[in-house]
Amino acid sequence: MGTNGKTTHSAYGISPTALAPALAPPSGVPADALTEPGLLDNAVEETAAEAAAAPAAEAGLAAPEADGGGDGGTDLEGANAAAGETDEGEPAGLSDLEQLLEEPDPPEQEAASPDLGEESAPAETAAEMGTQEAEDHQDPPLTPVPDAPPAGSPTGVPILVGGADFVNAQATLMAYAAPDGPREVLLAHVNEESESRLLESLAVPQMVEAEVEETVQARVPLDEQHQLAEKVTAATSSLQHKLDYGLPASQSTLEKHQEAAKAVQAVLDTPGLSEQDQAMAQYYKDQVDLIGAKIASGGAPLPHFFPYTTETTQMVVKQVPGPAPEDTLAAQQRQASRINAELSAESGDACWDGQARSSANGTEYAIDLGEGWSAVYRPYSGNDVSTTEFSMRGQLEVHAPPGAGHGKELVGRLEQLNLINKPMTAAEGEWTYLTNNVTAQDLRDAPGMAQAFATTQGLEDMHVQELIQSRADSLIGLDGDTLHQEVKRIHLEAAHRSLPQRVQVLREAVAVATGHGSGQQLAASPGYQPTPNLSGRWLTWSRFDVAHNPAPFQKAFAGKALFHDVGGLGIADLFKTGVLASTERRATMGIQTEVGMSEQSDKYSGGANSVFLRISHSPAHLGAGRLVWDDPSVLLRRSDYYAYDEDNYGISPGKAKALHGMTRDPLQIAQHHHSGNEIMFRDGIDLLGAEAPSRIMCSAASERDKLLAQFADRGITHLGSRPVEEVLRLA
Amino acid sequence: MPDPTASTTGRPPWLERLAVLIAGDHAASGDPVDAGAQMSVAEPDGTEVFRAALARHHRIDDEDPHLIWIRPLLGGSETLKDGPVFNLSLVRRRSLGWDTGEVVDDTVVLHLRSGQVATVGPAAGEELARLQRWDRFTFRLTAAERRALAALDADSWHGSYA
Repeated sequence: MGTNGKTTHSAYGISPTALAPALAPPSGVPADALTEPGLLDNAVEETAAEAAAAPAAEAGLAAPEADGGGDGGTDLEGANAAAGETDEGEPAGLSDLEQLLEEPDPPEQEAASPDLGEESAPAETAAEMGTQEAEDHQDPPLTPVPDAPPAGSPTGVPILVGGADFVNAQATLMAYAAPDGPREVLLAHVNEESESRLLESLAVPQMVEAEVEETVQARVPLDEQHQLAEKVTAATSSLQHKLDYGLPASQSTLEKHQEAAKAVQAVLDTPGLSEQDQAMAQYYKDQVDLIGAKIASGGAPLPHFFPYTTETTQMVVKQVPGPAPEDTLAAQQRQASRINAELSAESGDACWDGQARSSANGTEYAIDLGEGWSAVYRPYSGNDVSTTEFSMRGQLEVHAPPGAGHGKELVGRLEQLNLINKPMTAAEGEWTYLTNNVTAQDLRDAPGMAQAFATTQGLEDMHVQELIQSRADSLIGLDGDTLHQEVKRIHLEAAHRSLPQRVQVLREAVAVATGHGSGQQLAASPGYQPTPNLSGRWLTWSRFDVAHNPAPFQKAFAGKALFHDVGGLGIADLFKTGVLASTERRATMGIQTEVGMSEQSDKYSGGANSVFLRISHSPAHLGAGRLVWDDPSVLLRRSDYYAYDEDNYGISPGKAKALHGMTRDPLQIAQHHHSGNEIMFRDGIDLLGAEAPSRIMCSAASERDKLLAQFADRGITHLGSRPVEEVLRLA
Repeated sequence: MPDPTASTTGRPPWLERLAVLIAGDHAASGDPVDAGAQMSVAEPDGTEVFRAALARHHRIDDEDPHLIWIRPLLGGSETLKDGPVFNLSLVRRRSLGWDTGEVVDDTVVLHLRSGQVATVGPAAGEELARLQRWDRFTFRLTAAERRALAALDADSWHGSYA
């Protein structure tokens, strides 16, 4: 994949992010460039010109001896000639650097920090390195990464990863219970912008055909020849329908029964039947007789009827991977699948043997990370949105060898996939918080916002140029691949170094757009919370407009509530896990029967990544199984929801706004009144934490008692701020 | 469980037709299990964005007479070993909020409040096969679970096949 594939454990690691205490522009950049993009543009041009000219004039373009093997010539041509290489193997010179400056690979992450060892930062002084380390210590991770996530926890441990490689910067560390020790897995959703970098780490071999032996359940040929299963099934289905509705058998049912009986008897009457054929025909005869008895007597529907099968082995032709190219991670492209976990009814543990998977509609890469480690990635590219499951695109699994204690290495291994592999720091968190609020509050088109984002990009570019300039000596003479990687490292470091300034610029712009006067005033406002809410189940970011001043929202929602109606076994089953989880989350928790080629609309549209609530006037009568949030601001202070006033079919959130009235504005949502309205919350809702419902409608006193006992066993006395006795109501 | 023979008199013709299609009462054989309904939804420009068979139940919303609850059938599988299986969390209820409805040939066309256009007609091909697979699957559930599904009043499903 790509011409600059990286070797295992090579670049793109990051060091802990440094949060510069003082927001000074890089050297040579006017201080007012931070707020005046026009000046910034000029500065960028000047710096670029300097970067192009300075190495030749000041550093002498000396190719390092180790690489060039030449005489330390004084010009680029000399360096190239000494190396005697061409194309990708050609040592870098001024023109290469110019090209990289002009057309660098996009950094692809907003807030990343490269892991610069001594070898890769030769121009940095020891003092500078020391300063960097000291700064790093001042900015601890927002979410600690456990050595061993709790085994069996259905929800795992949510963590935030630095940079912007993952949706909401979030990953989850799971430890599935298994007989041979916990199966630790990192689950995350890669942003589409980071995919090309991930794919560059992979070598996907050509698939070749191979014949393999498989054990399968198969029908007996004589059955298929006489279509006995089809005829008996048709008679069964017809009768079941009548029994279910309490109706007498119809003429059609009688005819189907007679046809099945006749066909089965014909086979039974065949001379010289094998023992297997005899057993098959008798199996169908028994069902035909059962149908006949039910036609006569009526009653409850019959148990499900399975066709007669035998176990057999057969040779099938399958696609298997051929040899993989060297210097990249071996990857196999295959039909998409998901971890097929189970939630133990006895222990409540999420269990998975490390092997079982359920099929999905699309393709994925199975990646060998070496030393017993592996990964699975379901890409955006190659999974067309119109024919495959939207919600699985970008899903990443990293698997540790069996056993506990791999938590930190699960994160560290992301480096092999060219992804940021360090926990998120506070500075990165604030950037994520601000960008989430820009999206949630629909500020992208606010005056000055586009300029602010351009400025932040310009700041990063300036750092890139400064770093390339300062390291020109070490870069010149590198071969194509190595240079490409080093420049990528520089981009990561530039993103990291520029982060405090970029945060400041964006904070100023957001403050102006939201009437806070200045970034400082915004940061000091009560609702400003640039850290995620960790309730033990999900990590969510808040939106400061609601958090800062919930009164207008509470007024808009007066007399209204959010609700969700629970079906199936009822709410007691739901509260075993304590989360109202999205379809995709449920799959990883082991509480979903993933079935077949899920051509399910939610999965196509992305709705499978969310749970949905509805808004309604607080009704006088509440049915059983209803969860009610009487104060919607409890949930609407999150920054990750979107809503429609009507059900929309086949629409993904990314393209829904213009045509279908999608909104993220809580004041608009408060006006939604159609019964089919939906408010989608990403991942899910923690039913036991701060987002707990205010009312839970039980079907009967027995269900309420069961839940009360369940809560008592777990030491849960309150949901939200209310005593559980007050929350649990009878419908 | 709705009575498939119950009269729907008093409803507009298109709603009568909708009920007939969803129940499978239009079957040429006279046996509802041999027929059923499928729905396609198109954008205002005519682009089809959704197609699915419909389970044999529907319900008009208690508070909004211009809203019909249905259950599109998507996904599911059937193997000789496992039989027919659907994920009841995925096969969730959906709503049709309509402005106008009309019978066009043997279909019902609903102009939805969202701007989309839904066309409900006789199920055919893979959609009919999926509906009949669903019919067989539902008899793996308890009578109470079948009643709960037919009530079309739950937003998510917890328990077996969830």
